[in-house]
This record gives sequence, structure tokens and C-alpha cells, in this order.
Amino acid sequence: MPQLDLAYSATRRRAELAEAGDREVVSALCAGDEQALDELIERKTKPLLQLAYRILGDREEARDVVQVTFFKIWENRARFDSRWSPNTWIYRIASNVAIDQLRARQSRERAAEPVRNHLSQVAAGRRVTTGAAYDHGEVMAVFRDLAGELSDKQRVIFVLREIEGLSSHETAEVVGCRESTVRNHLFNARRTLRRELLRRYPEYVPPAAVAAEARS
Amino acid sequence: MSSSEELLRPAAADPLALFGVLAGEAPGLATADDVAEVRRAVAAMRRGRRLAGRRSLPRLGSAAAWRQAAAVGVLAAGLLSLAAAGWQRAAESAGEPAAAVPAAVAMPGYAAPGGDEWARRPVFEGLDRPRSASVYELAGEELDVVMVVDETLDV
Repeated sequence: MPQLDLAYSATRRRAELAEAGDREVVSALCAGDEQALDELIERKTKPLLQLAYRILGDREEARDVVQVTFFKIWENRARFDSRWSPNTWIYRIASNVAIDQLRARQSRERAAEPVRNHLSQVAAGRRVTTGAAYDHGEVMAVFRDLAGELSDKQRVIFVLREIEGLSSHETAEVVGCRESTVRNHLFNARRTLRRELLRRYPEYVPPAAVAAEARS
Repeated sequence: MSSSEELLRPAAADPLALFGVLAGEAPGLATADDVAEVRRAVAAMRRGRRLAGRRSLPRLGSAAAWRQAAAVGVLAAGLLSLAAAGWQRAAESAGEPAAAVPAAVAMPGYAAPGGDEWARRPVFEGLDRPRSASVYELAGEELDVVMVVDETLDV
């Protein structure tokens, strides 16, 4: 019963991979194990979708980026260095694909004025100072608009540090630069975002923060 | 302390704390269907890569171009399978031995692999059980080609 043996073997392999750590799964993938690719897709689709969505602010584009990321992971599996953290490698590929996607749509991003006007109207009716929680999609739309003022690298670094919560060291490894460069890009990104948020969306800024900004 | 209170405290000092909302999961972004869709898309891209060869493929990173290349690759495989099945049926009905699958029939712009690579291609998955499939017929002088395309073919 060779077919039954094969099916049993595949099931057992799937179970082994499900129990394995990321490093073991990536090692198996590097050896050409297609089930390891399946396992990686199972584990990383959700975090990569979140990352790509935070960078791009668009669900469909995020899905495309994740698909291409896994394909590139498979195609470039021979280049993985076992000294690297699997997550760093995967995030690096995803970030680079997202940057490619950003560059492809830069001209469209300049046409965000109607979105901005709509958001201003929505926020005007909100009781900001009484603690009403912001909607995720609404904040993402604001971020996407303001992030158009950032360079691709500033944008990715801001997302990795401030939203994904990576350390400067981890961010530097993902982006492929020095920690001091990460700190510089982050400083500039924060300054630009703060300035543009106050200018374009003052209704999203609590009065205390407006006053603090005016004093500084 | 509630999550909105936690959010508002730093916001009083830093306007950018607004973006702390984004650290939470985007509602409805990742579902079980997404994992299955990613698996299908990656498999299609890999098929496209195998069929098309490295030189003729689009630049990595262009998701739409990749999907299109994968779809073309899958279409090519489907066309070959259908054509081969048609020739085989015709030969069988004439009471003759089954004709061999043609060694190399390439889609325009795509280099055919060497040897009998095309003949070893498996039948395009799913074509034998189309759900809401469309049928296209291309009439040629020596060969009619019928394409059956269902909704899983994302161009």
C-alpha cells in the first residue's frame, strides 16, 4: 500500500513541522521541503498581512505583497544564512516587496485630497476630548495620507519601530542599515508626521498636545 | 484602566500616540481563507516560474505581473492538456494507437522547456471538474482549441 504509506508519511511530516520552531521550519524550507513552505504560510500569513497593511494602508495590496513575499522566500531559500533570525529574514523580504509596491503607486497617493476632506468632517463630529476611541480604519486612513510625506525608508522604519514594536537593533537588521540610521530616520519621520498631523488633522490632536506643541 | 484610557494618556503629550491604535489587529484583515488564498497564489506563481523559465518572467515585486504570468503559465498547461486529450480521443475513436503528446508547443513569448518536458506536465488541476466555468473555442485550420476557465483562474 505505497499510497497509504505516502499519505501517512506526509501527515506525520506536517505534524512534525507544526511542532517545530521557526528556525527548524526555515531550515527545512531551505532544504527544499514544500511542506515547510506550507507551514510557514500557515504561521506567518497573519503577521505579514498586518505588517504589509500597516506599511501600505490597503488590504488588497497587502494581500498581494504577502503572496509575493512567500514566493520570494521560496525562490531565495538558498540565500538564507543560518546566522540570521528567520523572522528578520522574512520581515526584510516583506518590507522590500512592500516598498516596491509603494513606489509603484506613488503617483496615486498624491490624489488623497478627497479622503482628507472626508476624514476631517468625520472627526469634526467626534468628541475627541471625552475619550471616544478611534476606529482602526479611520486612523489608518489618516496615517496613510500623512505617510505620503515620508520617504519609503522612513515609513517602513516608523511602522517597524512604533507600530510593530521592534527594537532599533531588530529594525536595523530588517531594513539593512545601522542603528544610528534607524534613529535618524525615525526622528525625521516623527517630526514630519507630527507637523502634518497638526496641520491637516488638528481635530485628531487633543488640546493638551496642541498646547505642548505650541510651547515647543 | 481601559484600553481607550491607556491610549488617551500618552496622547495628551504626544499627538503621534494616535497611531498606537494601529498596533492592534486590523479587524477582518486575516482570515482562514487568506491562508488558503496565499497557498493557491504561491503555488500558481511557482507553476508559472517552472513553465516560463527565468528569463521571460516579470520583475520580482510586481504582484500583479506575477499573477498574470502565473495565469498564463497555468493556461498554457491547460491548453496543452486539452489538446493532448483531444488528439488521444480522436486517435482512439479511429481505432489507432494513441498519438503521442506533442513535444513542445509554447505560448507566445515563453520558451518551452527542452525534451519531452511538456509531455510530462500533469493535467491542469480542477479543469476536469469546473464549477462555474466559461468555455472558449478558438478555431484554427488544423486544430481547434477549447479553453475551459473557471473562477479560480485569477488574471
